Amino acid sequence: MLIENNSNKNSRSAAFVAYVIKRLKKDNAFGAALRRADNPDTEIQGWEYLVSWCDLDNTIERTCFATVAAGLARAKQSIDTPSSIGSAIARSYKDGNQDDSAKRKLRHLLACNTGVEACHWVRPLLRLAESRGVRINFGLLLNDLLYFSPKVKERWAMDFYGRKEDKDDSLDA
Amino acid sequence: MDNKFNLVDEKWIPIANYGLVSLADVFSQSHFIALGGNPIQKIALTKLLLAIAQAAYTPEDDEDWIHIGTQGMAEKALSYLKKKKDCFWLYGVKPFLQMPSIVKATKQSYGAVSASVATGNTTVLVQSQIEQNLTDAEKAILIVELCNFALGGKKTDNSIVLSPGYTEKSNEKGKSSAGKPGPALGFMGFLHNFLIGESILESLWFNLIPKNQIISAPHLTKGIGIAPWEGMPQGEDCEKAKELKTTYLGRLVPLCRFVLLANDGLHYSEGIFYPGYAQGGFDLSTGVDFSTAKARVLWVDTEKRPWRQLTSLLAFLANEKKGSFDCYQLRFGLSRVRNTQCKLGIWSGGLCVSSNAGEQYASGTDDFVESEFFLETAWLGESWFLQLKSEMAIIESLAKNVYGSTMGFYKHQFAEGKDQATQAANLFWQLAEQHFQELINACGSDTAESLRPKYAQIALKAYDTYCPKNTARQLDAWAANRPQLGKYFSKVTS
Repeated sequence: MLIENNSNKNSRSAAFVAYVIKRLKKDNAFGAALRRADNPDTEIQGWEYLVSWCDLDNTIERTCFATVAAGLARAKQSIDTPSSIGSAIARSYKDGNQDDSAKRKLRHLLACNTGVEACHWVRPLLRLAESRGVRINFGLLLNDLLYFSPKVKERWAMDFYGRKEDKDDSLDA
Repeated sequence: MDNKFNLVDEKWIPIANYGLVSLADVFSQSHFIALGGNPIQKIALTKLLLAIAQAAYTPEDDEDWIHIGTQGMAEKALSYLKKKKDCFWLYGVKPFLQMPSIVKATKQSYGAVSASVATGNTTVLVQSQIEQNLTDAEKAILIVELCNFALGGKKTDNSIVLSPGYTEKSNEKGKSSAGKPGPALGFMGFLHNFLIGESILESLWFNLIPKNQIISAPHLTKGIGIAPWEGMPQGEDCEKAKELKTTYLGRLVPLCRFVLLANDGLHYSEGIFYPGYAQGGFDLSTGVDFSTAKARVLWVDTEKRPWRQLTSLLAFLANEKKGSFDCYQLRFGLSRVRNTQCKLGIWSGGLCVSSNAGEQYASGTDDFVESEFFLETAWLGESWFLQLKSEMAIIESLAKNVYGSTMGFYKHQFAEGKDQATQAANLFWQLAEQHFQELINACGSDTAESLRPKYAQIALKAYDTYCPKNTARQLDAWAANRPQLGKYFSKVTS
């Protein structure tokens, strides 16, 4: 049951990202509206596209979808890559995970307690990644923001240091 | 003094999950599984029971050993006890393993000579450390324990010398010196190893050493010898005392202390001085290495549990001579038992003690340790051993990884993390110990690799326990230093 729920969550985020990427190619108005979706003063312009994907009354959902949609619209990615936000921060700097600025940015992200709070830190990070030509897995990012938890933060930190997650979730010992 | 409390008939030997039994009971009932008491009592009693069995009948060789069997050994020991019953009075004219002539030595309380009792200005931490009045049964155990595990120090009244001209009990200035540690204890506490079977009788039979093997031990030049209770020595350096130093029975029941029970304590002085491992003298149940220029011995280490020493002790299975320890008891025993039995165990244990200026005591992290595990004799061979050795090396590297990663976690935050790293590695070893029997079995069935993910998970758990990730800075350090053990997880699936 849990697996089914997780796959539903994943498929919703993945489907949204796939839809945005596809439509961005042929609809300039769509892209222009989404680029403004992460600004509180102009976010209303993107609502008509987001309404079919999320509950606009739900601040968490709306903010997460808007942040990711705006990021996607700016990045102009043709496909969704496997690179997560953690590794994207490291790859945005020359010294990678040894760069002090990169470490600071990661810590800001790790200090967040909610998905909405994380969105505020993610927004400039997406712009940074875009400017450095680093691609991001937006589907995964949306999912992480929607279902923000300590586990998500652990994964971001591990991705930042290029460490693979081992099968350590269940230990009967 | 009247003969009182005969050890053959009175109940004094603790049996696990049963209670107290007599010597006759031990050899007449085959359903007792294991001895009770603390590890040093178990070792001392095992050596005493073994000495009785060896004194009753020592097989000529392996064939004779198989021929006699558990039942035969028990019968011979019983008839020996019946015949020599007069040697086993705890009180009387010839008290068991005591020296009436030492009566002039200063009396010590029972607690003063026991490692687990707090006396003097020592802090009492738990109820069991409080000195208590002993029953006759407990006094009997204390006597046997003192023979092997007497603590070195000033508790012995060495002003009383029974052998005229004997100088070992005094220093260069002629004043009485501190008592030396018991031969089974040594400087820091030797680790003892015995084979165990499915009952006490079977365990004794496994450990029974035939004559031809006894004489192959370099320090037992006089062979099996005569049990000390059959004829106690007159002093520290008499002919009998000299003989006891070089015989197997003398080494099984050493008289390193001359004692005499009194109403409210015991007269206590140093007894025969047995040569230590540096001089070539050692208990067959300890692990020794004479291949190097300076002899080495396996000590009890509370940080390093006995099961971790197994590969050192069983090195003879792969004919590894150089740089590895040799435990005669296991080597002799396994070579015999592997042809007869299908399941046997190895028990290891001892007491870790501290030494300061000749005074020994159990303090700080000193403690008793013991561990036991079972294996099938069919596995006993080079391939099983090499597999176990390689898996143990992997576990060792995982422990190092946990230590290094935990250190890294604290260094990342500019903090001192040595203590936490040590504790994390200790936790890893403690958790890993729970699966050691499983590992032994897996090595026997060639599936040892299947346990690697389990040990890798334990390593991650140990790291996570000592490396918190509550704040952003901690989470950062945690992710940066977490052990990368993917290869241990992927090995099985590939």
